[in-house]
Amino acid sequence: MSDYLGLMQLALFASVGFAFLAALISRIVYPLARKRLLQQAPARRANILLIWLLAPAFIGLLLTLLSLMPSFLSLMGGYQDHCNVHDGHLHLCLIHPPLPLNNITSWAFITLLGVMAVVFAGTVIFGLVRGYKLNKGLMMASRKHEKQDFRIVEWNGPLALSAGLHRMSVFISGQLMKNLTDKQLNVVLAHERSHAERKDALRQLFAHALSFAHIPWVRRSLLADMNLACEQACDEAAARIMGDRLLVADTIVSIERMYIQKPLSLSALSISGSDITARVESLVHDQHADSPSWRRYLILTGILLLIATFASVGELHHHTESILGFLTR
Amino acid sequence: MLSVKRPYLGELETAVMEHLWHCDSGDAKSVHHKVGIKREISLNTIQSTLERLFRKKLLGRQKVGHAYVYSAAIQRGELMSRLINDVVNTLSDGKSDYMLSAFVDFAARSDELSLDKLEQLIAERRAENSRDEET
Repeated sequence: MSDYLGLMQLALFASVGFAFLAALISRIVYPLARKRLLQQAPARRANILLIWLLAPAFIGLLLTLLSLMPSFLSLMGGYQDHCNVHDGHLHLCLIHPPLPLNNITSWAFITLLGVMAVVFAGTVIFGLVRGYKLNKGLMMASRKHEKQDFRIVEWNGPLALSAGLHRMSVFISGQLMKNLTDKQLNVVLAHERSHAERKDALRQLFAHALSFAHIPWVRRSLLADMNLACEQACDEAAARIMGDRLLVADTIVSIERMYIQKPLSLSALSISGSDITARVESLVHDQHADSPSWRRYLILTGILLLIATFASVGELHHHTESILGFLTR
Repeated sequence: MLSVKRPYLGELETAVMEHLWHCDSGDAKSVHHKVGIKREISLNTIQSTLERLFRKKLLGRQKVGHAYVYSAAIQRGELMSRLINDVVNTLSDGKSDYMLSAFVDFAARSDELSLDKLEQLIAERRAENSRDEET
């Protein structure tokens, strides 16, 4: 294992470098692509945004693995060992692993990455524990509806939410049930059940946990856009089930009005930060581009990029070594 | 004032609390008889559950002879309202939560004017649809 310490250090630096490069490209491209992306149907948009959120981390890992590929093929005997052409050049080699980097800068950088990883993982775990406890609290404080598959929370505010990770439960407050018409209640149930069917909680977990390589403000914007896309996808599902888009829009406005008319004594409410307008306008105008060509275009681009990357594995290997050699000199 | 900030209870703890809310008080044997036997749980488990609930300050107890007699130190309604307030306060802090998804955002409010405009927009669209259906 210690023989490979140097190689692991270099692989870590390479993956951080590749991920950072992908995050920078995302920073430049996302504002340009966002307008077009917002025109997409919400369900597709949510999927694209999830891929976008995960992209830098996966690109970092993939390119690092690909840059090790020639050495791996040599090890397997499928490719001639090219160590002799290196002549003192830093070498990403599994057969003759490089010596570990023992300078302070390298270790300080590794320590910094370690601290960042612990803080990030801690935040995700804390969020999971908090969600688990809230879900447990909601389960305790609620009772099952006699006929339908949801739970009633005896609370004097307009509460409607779904909670859980793999198996989500729908919670509706007694006050909301009293104030909504049957049709509006069915809209709320259809919307919340759609979150469960789409596994939105898992989607959010992956998006939060694996988007660490993004530049923080780009990440925030991507997460907010994905959250809106998920909500809109559930609005669309409710509209399909109820057969009336305007009823869904009307229900959203009605519930929002209940919050305004009966202010809650809550700690941190922000005014006008809500995504109600975007959701209602989307339902009223129904102007999403729903062309299947987008999917084909994305798949084709992905395949072409993969072919191009595999074709240039040798170049990638060599340039990664050159850059790492330059950085660790 | 009881310090029951996050009184999350397990399934057995909830069953024991429900029993004591219903019966007012009881010792370990009577709780075991009503709650434990049908769950095939030993008297020891019930005793440790009662002890745990006492430490959480959800139960009070008095020594009668050799046994403790337990009673609820907090009423059902109060406990439920604390739980819900805890959930609502956590939801309103504006932090994203992977496991909860509210129909409308808890931490962000629209203003009356925006809602009026949206209602007008919906009404206009509804009228438009009605006209289209008539023609």
